[in-house]
Amino acid sequence: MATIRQVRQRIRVAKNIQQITKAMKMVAAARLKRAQDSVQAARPYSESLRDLMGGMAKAAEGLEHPLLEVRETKRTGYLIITSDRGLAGSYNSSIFRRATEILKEYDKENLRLYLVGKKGIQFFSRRGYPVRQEFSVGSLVTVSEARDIARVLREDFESGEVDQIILLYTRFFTAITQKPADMQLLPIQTPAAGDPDTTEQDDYLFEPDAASLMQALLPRYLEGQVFQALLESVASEHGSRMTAMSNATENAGKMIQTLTLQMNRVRQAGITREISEIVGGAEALKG
Amino acid sequence: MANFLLELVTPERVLFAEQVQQLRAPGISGSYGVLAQHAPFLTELDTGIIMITFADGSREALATSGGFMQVRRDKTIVLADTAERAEEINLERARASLATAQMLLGNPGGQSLDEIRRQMKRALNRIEVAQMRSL
Repeated sequence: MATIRQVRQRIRVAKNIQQITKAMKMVAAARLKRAQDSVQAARPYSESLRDLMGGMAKAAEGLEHPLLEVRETKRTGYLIITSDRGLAGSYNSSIFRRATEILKEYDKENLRLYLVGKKGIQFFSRRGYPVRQEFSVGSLVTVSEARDIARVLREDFESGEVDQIILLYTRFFTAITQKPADMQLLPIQTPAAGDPDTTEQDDYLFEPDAASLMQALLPRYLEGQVFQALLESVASEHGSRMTAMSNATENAGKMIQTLTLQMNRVRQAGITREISEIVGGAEALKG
Repeated sequence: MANFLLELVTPERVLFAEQVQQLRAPGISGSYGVLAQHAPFLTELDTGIIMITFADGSREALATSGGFMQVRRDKTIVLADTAERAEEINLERARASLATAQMLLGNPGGQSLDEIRRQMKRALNRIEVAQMRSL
């Protein structure tokens, strides 16, 4: 059986860990709040943009644009969003699992990876995937970061380096639910004009004309999608970390409880033993 | 004067959504004015000044670096790449940006002239809006 000092030591360690996880949980909660607000705040823009494209789809029908060009897919690019830091529960490992699942269908030489986040860079380069470009974003995602990424993707798509680009990110549902999701970024799939709720069937006057407007819209649409994915991923990261740290704090609490019980039992056993020794000694003296 | 609903949206946030009297926006083929009951209309915006006349008659100028304007029957939406209020503009930074652009114009290095000109235009525009604050 462990000595009382050993048990005390273990309690101390558990308490220290609990303090750290508690602090991390609180930091994650604060960041989550901010990230969630940014996701909310960014939604109207992407909805309006999608709406706009939906409304124009008819007028711009048959439009040819490099970003819409569907080619035979020889090389596929994957934009994979992970975090810079660990201790975020299953946030990164879910993405890795999903990615490995999808990527095993490809020959490595037909793949190009665009990675956001140190964790992803570590994971994929260690496994010998061809990493085309690495990006890093701060914990407050800015539009210009999204634009930089979108520009690289666009250039590679237009130059024929890749024929298709797919985005792999973590969709944010609530603070406790986040799921890996994938969607095609390039060639751009224009939203269907069908949805009567969102698309107004008015006949717009276009200035200068529908085709040139579409040309201006498409790159922004791509940027918008990348931006949205970054925001949601960051929110998911903080959500996931908060849940993980909350669980860790709870577990540490339980551990401290069991250890305290154990310590009391050890101490009590010691006292009992001493008493019986004294009693035994006294009995012997009476002799 | 009749009012209409204007939504000014950037990728990051909704700047505002409220009833206004009039809107002037820098379309790529010329400046556009929008009043209530305007016909449905869609245009691309250039770098320039968005001028809004609010319901109470007060006016505000914002610097934008491009985007779209969609006039619908129920509302007008401006999707701006950026939109800055006069008080949000850092005049020093705008001037510094202008200075770098002017310097680059003489010695472009790797950058395209178009890009430098755009930067200059953005900087000039921001300076102009920032100075309108005092009006």
